[in-house]
Amino acid sequence: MHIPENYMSPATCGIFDVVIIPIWVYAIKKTKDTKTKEKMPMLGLAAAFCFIAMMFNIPLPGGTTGHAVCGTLVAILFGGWPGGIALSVAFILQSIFFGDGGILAIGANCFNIAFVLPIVGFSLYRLICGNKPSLKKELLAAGISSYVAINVAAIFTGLELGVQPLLFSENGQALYCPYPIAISVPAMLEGHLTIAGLAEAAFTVGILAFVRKVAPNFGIQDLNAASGEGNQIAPLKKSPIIPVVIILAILVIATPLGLIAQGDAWGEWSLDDLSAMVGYAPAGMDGAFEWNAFIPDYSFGEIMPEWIAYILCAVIGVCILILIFRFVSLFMKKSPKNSGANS
Amino acid sequence: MSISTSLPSWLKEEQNYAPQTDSKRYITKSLLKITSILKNLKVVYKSHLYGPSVAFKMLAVLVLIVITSVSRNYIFVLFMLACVLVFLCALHMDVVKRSIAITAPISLITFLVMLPAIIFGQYSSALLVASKVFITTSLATLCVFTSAPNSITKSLRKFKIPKTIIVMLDLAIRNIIILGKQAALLLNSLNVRSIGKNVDKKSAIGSIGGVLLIKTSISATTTYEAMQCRGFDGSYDYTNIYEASTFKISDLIWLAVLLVIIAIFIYFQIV
Repeated sequence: MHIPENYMSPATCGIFDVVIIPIWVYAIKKTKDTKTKEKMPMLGLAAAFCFIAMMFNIPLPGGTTGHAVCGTLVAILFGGWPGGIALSVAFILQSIFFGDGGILAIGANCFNIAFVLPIVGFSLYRLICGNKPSLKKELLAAGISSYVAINVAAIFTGLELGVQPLLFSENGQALYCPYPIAISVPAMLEGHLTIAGLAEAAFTVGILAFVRKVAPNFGIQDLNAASGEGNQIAPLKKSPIIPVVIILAILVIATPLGLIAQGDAWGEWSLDDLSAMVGYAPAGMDGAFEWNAFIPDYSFGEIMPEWIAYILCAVIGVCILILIFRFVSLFMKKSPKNSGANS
Repeated sequence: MSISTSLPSWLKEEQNYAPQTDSKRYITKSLLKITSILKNLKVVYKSHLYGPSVAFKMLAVLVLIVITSVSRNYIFVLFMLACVLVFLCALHMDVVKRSIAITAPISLITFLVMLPAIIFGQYSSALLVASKVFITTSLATLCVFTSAPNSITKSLRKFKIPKTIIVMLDLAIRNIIILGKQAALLLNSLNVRSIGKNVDKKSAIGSIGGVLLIKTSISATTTYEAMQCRGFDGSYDYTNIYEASTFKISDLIWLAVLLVIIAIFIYFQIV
């Protein structure tokens, strides 16, 4: 679902880059108003979860690959807007360090993955949960909402890619993404309605069940909050971070499973592969801006086995995300009720 | 003989002295700096049960800094970066903040200095050097910030550093605390007495420096006399005092980790 560099015109990217700024400002304001200093490191862990989830590539029908995002999970645990911030930071890190998603397309990607997905997922979750949800009902709501949310985000991605040949063509050839809406939207939905959507639901339900059982204080949105009483600040009786760190470490070690799926995700091909498929290299993409990521595609080439490189990248990504949110917590207000900081 | 009890006319005059406002940053900034140094020196360092001994930590950091510096392989540097980041995540945020406050500006300046390399297409060189600077300075700062100052000087004995230097370092650390407190008192008194506009700030702050110099001299003389009273004959044999700084059993585990890192370094140098 990551739109790569140059698949969208600079004008389209620019529009989304401008649109996403007020969304971020509002999300940061909401996060500052509702989240306390002690909860920020947990939000960092949640961002790390999303980062890891996006490294698990799954084979999809048609020879492409997809991945879960865990956006709805973070929104359920921390609220839609803070979840959006966590996802945005994770996504920007992926773009800059690992070249997963275009730098110019950060606005569009964050709009789809860090705004549409968590807001749709969280709203639907609240709607299904109702007033007095049981754990079973909550997990069911989480599964359905995460499945729907990732598909809505996929539709948005398909529309953004599909509109390119309509707007930017020259001599009958597309300048950027060559596939129109009639192809891009069904192609995006094909994978997400089937395997990727189910994987998102499985990740969300599995991790939420674990968190509710082992670390109920992790996050702010608990069952009472889901009943419509607003954001609840759960008291920190014992550190909920340790079990979450353990499961995160297990997931980091398991990331090489994402390498089993061969091939690229739909719309994330290299220029050579795309040229071979459509018969020409779109003029807007040929020789356009390319960001030199520090570790492109989570790989060091032939010098290091792919699985080791994958784990190394996961460790670097997770640590940076945790440190970013721990640093942010230094500048935030402390909960008046809670003196036990978990920084 | 009658005694006049009336107040003189000049004393009866109403006072309407309004002192001019003046910047006191030269006092407050110095005071803050001294206070932060004293605070850092007073931090209680809790050694973790499975943490390495200070002596081993210093040795390991030295080895890691050397191998990171000489490595020309970017993958090994990234591996070291991952290790440093894991340590940063595991440490308390106060330590991390102090470490990053030093390492981030240095790494950024290094990156800016290397910008011409990026312009000429040597993109990886700039990143390699900046990453190396971040890793090595992080290792050094983390080693210092997670060890008590006196334990560092004790550990130096293990590395056959001349005893004179160790005693000098020990005395220096102790005197920094004593003189730091004196400087804070002097600055506070200057702050209280600084009313209105001070046109000669250099003289005011210079006087504090002068007083501190005299105090240093007095402190040195007092310490020497105290040492003589306790039988100091010019030779330093502090073996019994430094016995406490020995290697721990947990150092064996850390030694294994260090050996693995060295093996990875050698592998990437050969490949």
